[in-house]
Amino acid sequence: MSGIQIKGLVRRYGDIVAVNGIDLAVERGEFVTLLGPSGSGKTTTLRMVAGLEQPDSGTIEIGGRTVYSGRINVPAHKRGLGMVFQSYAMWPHKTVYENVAFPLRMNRIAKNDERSRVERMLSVVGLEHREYGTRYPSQLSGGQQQRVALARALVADPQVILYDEPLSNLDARLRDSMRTLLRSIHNQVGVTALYVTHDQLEAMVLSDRVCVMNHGAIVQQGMPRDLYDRPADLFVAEFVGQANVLTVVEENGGSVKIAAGIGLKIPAANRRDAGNSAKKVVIRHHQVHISDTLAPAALENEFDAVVRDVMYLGDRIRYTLEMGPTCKVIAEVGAEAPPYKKEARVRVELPGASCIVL
Amino acid sequence: MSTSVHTQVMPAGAVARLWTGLLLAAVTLLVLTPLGALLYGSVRTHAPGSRRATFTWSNLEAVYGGLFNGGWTQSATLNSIFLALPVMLLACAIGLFLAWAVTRTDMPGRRTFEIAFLLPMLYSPLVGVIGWSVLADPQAGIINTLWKYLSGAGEPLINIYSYVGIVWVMVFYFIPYAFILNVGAFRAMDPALEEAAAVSGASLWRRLAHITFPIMLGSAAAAALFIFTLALEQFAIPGFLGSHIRFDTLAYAIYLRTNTYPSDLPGAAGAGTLLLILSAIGLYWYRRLTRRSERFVTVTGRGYKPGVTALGGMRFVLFGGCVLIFLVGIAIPLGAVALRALLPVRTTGLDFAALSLANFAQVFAAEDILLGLRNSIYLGLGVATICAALGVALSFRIVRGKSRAMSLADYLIAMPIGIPGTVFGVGMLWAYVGTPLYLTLWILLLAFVTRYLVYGVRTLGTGMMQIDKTLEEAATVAGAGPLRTFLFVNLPLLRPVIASAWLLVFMIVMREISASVILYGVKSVTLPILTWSYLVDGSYGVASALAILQLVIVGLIVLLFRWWFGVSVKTRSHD
Repeated sequence: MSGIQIKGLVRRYGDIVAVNGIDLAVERGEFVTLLGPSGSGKTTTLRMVAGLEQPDSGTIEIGGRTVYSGRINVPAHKRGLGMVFQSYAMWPHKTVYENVAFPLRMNRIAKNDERSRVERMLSVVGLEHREYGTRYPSQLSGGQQQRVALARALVADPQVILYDEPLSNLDARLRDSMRTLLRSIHNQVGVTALYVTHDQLEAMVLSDRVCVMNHGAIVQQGMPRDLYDRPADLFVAEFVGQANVLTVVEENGGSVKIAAGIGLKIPAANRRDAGNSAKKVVIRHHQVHISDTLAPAALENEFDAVVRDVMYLGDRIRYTLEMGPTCKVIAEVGAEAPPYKKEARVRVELPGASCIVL
Repeated sequence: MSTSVHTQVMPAGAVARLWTGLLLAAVTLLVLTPLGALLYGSVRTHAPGSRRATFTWSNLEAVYGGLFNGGWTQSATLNSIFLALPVMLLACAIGLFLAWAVTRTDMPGRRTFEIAFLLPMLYSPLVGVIGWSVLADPQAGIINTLWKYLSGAGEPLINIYSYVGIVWVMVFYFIPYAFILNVGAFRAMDPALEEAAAVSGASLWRRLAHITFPIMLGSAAAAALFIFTLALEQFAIPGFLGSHIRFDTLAYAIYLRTNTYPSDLPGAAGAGTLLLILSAIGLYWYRRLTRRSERFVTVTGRGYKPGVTALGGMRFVLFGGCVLIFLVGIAIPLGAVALRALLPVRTTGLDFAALSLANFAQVFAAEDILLGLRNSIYLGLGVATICAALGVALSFRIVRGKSRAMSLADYLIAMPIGIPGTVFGVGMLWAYVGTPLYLTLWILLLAFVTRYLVYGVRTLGTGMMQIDKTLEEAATVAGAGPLRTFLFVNLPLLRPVIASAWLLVFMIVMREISASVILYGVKSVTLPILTWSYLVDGSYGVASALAILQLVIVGLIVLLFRWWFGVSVKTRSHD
C-alpha cells in the first residue's frame, strides 16, 4: 500500500499552469522532497495533497483512500494529515500545550491520553512541557515555534506529514540543527513525508528521494546521489549542486571541443541527448583536478591554465582557472592541499568520467 | 565648495526646532481651547458674554446629581447607554460576519461587496433616517401602507419611531464602520493559521470557533468599543426618530439646551462634560485593547497569499445573507430616499405619475440652499486641503522626528476623536462666542480642522512609515538636502496617501451635523444642516433631494479621485 499516489495532477491560475500533470508515488514511510525554484509548482502540489487547494484535474490517494478525483473531494480536515507551515502558523491565543493538543481534541482523544501524548511529543522535539507548556507563541523564538509546529503535526499519528518549506524562515545556524532534528525524528517515527523546499542541501540531507520540479512538472527524480552525479538536464545540473557549464563548439567522434585547442575525451555513457540546441559539458567544481606544471604531462583531458582568482572558503579553496582566452573553469580543492597563488601556471585535468555532455 | 557643509547643519536644526515649537503651540491651542472653554462654561451661571455671569457649581450638581435623583440627565444618559449597547453588539456582529465573508471565503462577488458595504460612508446618516421614515412611518410609510392594504389590518406593521426603530436604523448606519475596522485585522491574519487547523482535523465551524474568532477577538472588541462611543454621541438618528416619542439621548438633550429658547448654555456645557467622560471611558478601554493586541492579531509584515476558505454550497447561503444585508441596509432605504426626492408631495399610494423633479427645482431655486451648497463645498475643500497639508507637515515630524514634544502633539491631535460632536460644538461656542468668528463659516472651518486633523495626520503617518527610511538616506547621500529629499522623494511617494487623506476628510466634512448644528448661523448653513432643518420641519421631499445631492457631489469627487490618483474608498477611517 502506498503512502501517497498522485496521478495527472493539474492546477491552473487563469492562463498560468502552476502544476502541469504531475505523477508521483510516495511509498509508505518514505521521505520524498519536492525541490525547485519559486514558481515551480511544488508548494501548489503539496497544498493540493493537503486539501487546501483544489486541483483542476487528476487524482490523489492517501493511504489507499482516494481523497481527490473528479467526483470525490475529501476536505482537508478529514484527510488525517499533519502539516508544518513556513510561517509556523502557531495559534497566538493558545499556549504551547493547547497548540499541540488541538489535533487530538479534534480527533476526540481522551483527556488523560491527550496529556501524555502532548508531553511525549514535546520532548521528542526537544521542548520540555514543564518549561514551555504554558507559554504563548509570542514568548518563543522562531526555532522554538517551529518545534512546536512539528510536535503539533506529529501528535495525532498522521499517516502522512507534509512540510511546506518549514526551515526557510530560520537563520542558517538554526536551520542546520533543525535539519538534524527532523532527520532523527523521522528515523524514529518513520511516518510518510512529503517535503517542499528550494534548498538543495536540505533536500539532499533529509530525503530518501528527491523530485526536482520546474515549470509545474517533475524534471527528474531519484536518490540525492543520483541527481547529483547524473543530472538528466542542465536545469537539474545547475539547481542541484554547483557545476561548470561549458559550451561545446565542435563534436567529432570521441572528442568534444569546448574551445580552440581544448578537446575532451568523454565516454559514450556520459553523453546524452537532452535536446539542447547547443550541447554543454557539465563538470562539478570539486571534480576538476589541479596539479603543478612540473608533473609529467600528456594525459588525456589535461590542459595548461593560469590561476585568475583564489577564494578561501574555509574547508576548501576555489580557483578560477583560465585555459584559453574564452575558456574558464572553476575548481575546488580541499584546503589542506598547498595553495597556488594568483597568476600561477598550473595544469588542469577535467576527468572524462566526471564530465557529462547534455 | 566643501566648507559649506558644516555651516549648514546648525541653522537647519534650529529652523526645525522652531517649526516643531510653532506647530506644537498651534495644535495645543487648537485642541485645548474648546475643551477649556467647555469646563469654564460648565461652572458659569449665565451664557458667555452676560454681565451677570458668575461662578457656580449648580450646573454640575444638576448634571451629575441629576443622574441619581431623577434630573434631566438621568433618562437621557440611560437612553444613550441602552441605545449604544444593542447597536454596538448587533452592528459588530454583522460587520464581523461581513468582513469575514469578504476576506476569508470564496463567496461569489466578494470584491463587489467589499466596495458596496462601504457605500454608506459616502452619504449622511440622515439617509437612513429619511429612508426608514418614508418606509416605516406608522401612518404613511410605504411598508405599512402596503401591509394595511394587503392584510386589511388597521395597525401598522412596523413603527420606525420607536426604540426598536432607532436601534434598527443605527445598526445599519454603523455596520460599515464595524466592517472596515475588522477587514484590516482579517487581512492581517496569516491564512496558515486556519489551514493548520484544517489539517489538524477541525471542520469549518470548529475552525471559526477555536481559531478565527478567538484570534479576531481583540480587533472585534476594539471595534465594538469604538462603535459604542460613536453610537453614544450619534446625534441625528436618535435625535430625529426619538423626538417623535420623547426619547432623548444625551447628545440630543445637549443640542436642545443650546437650540430652544431660552437656551441653557452652562447646562449644555455641564452635560457636555458628562458625555465626554462616558466616551472617554469607552475610548480608554479601546486604547488598552489595541495596545496589547499582539496576542490576538498576528501581523508579520509579509504579504499573504489570498488564502480563502472554500465553503462549497455554503457560499451561496453567505452570498444570500450579504445580498439581504445590502438590500435592507443600503439599497432599500437609499431607494426610498431617491423615490421621496422625486415626489413633490407626500402620497400614500405609489403613484408613478406624480414623480417629478419639483423638489430639485425647489432646491436650486432656494437662496438658502444655494448658500448652504456653496458653504459645504467651501468647507469641504478648505478643511480637506488644510488637514492634508498639516498632515504632511506634522506626520513627517511625528514619524521621523521621534521627539517627546512630537509624541505629545500626536496625542493632542488624536484627542478630539474622544470628544462627541455636540460637546465639541458647545466647547467651540463657549470659546469663540465673543469673537468675530462667531456665526461665520470660519468657526466651522476651525472646528472641523481641529476635529479632523487627526485623520490627515494618521493617514499620512501610516503612509510615511511605509516609506523605507533608506530611500531618504539614499537621497541624502546622493547630495539632496532635507528639503529636496522631501520634495523629490517623500512627496511623490506620498501622493496617493495625501489624496486619500484629503478624500477622507472631505467625505466626513460633507456630512457633519452634530457639531455644526450647534455652531451654524444664518450665513453659515451647510448642506447637512439644511437637510436636517427641512427634515425637522417635515419637508421630506426637499430633505431627500438634499441628501441625494450630497451623495452625488461626494460620489463624483470619489470617482474623480479614483480616476486621478487611483485612490478608492478603501480608506481605513477610524483607527
